[in-house]
Amino acid sequence: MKKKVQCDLCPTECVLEEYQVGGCRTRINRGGVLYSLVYGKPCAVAVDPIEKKPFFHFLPGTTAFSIATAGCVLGCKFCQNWQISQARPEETDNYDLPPDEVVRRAMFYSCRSITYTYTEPTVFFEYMYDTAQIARDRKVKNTMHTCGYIKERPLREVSKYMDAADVDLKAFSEDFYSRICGGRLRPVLDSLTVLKDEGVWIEITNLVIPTLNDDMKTIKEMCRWIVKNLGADVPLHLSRFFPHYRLNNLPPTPPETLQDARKTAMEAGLKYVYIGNVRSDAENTCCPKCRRILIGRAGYAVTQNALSGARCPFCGTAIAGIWN
Amino acid sequence: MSDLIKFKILMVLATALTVLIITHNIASELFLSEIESYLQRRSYFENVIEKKKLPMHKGMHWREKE
Repeated sequence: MKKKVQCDLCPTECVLEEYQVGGCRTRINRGGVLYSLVYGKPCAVAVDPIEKKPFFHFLPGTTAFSIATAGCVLGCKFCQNWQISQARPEETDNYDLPPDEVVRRAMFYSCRSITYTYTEPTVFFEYMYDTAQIARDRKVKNTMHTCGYIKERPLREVSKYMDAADVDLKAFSEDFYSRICGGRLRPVLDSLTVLKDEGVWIEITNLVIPTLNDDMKTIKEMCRWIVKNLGADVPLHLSRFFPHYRLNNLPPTPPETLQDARKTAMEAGLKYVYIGNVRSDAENTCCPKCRRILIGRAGYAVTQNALSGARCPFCGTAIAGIWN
Repeated sequence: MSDLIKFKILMVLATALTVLIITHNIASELFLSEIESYLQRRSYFENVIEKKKLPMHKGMHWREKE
């Protein structure tokens, strides 16, 4: 029998025997060497508004060339993309799209950025890393939507080429991560501080699920942690839950709960708190000082953008983000 | 053939069978399950993963484990 290998990409640290595939379904030990089974083989490719990721403080009104392969490092019971995230790459229909072709297509479709999204980009780390390098050379920005379940070394490596990251902070409890996602909270918090340290623009998404993570006390704790460790300028997206995958027994999040959560987050000191998956005024970016609307949105569409440089045109307050 | 000889033959066969069963149990505990699972993984790789022509791109973050 050949040697076992240990994957050092995510905190699960799978130890794989010969021909064994990791928990993410995308990495295999063959002959004592670990191989990726998804390099250059995305199963989802699309041109999306950047607001869909969601990024609200990063090149608003632009499009992002978005790619994903099969697989994920977690197994969230509420996953909205479970058909591909919980699938093996041999079960999905894959495109043949090497890194340079991804960048070429992004430029062809006038996308200002490439987003590694839909599933967890950690599982296609090598593909993302090589694509991001080429994109940086050609002045196309790189962003990722991640659950943050990645070890420090690979995260620092890819951060050199990453302009922004939207991190799913699924809840602020180890119990939730363990029972609902099959992971741990601590590594996600560590990843957020690493991204901050590397100078990557961060936005955070929190899916508010009735009865599981909609406790205002815990939401307040989470927001205080964000303010203390990442800063009050980090945008927080509170998303409405709809029944999916293995959580079909729960109702959609009541809009009042989301409004309460938003109020709690702003009281904890966060300046930019948005509500997602439901139409409301909380989709707009307002100046934290004079409260006037700077960027108006209707769903993924930007209806107005009054930003002048990176400042509020009415009172001159600096608005954090990457605007150009 | 006397009854004593018949009894001795029976005893030898019974002992051989017992030793065989114990050996099989020990072997399956120690090696056979591992070999069986290895063959299953290898067969899956050769018949499913290879046939799908998935890339085998060397990974970046891993190490050999003793």
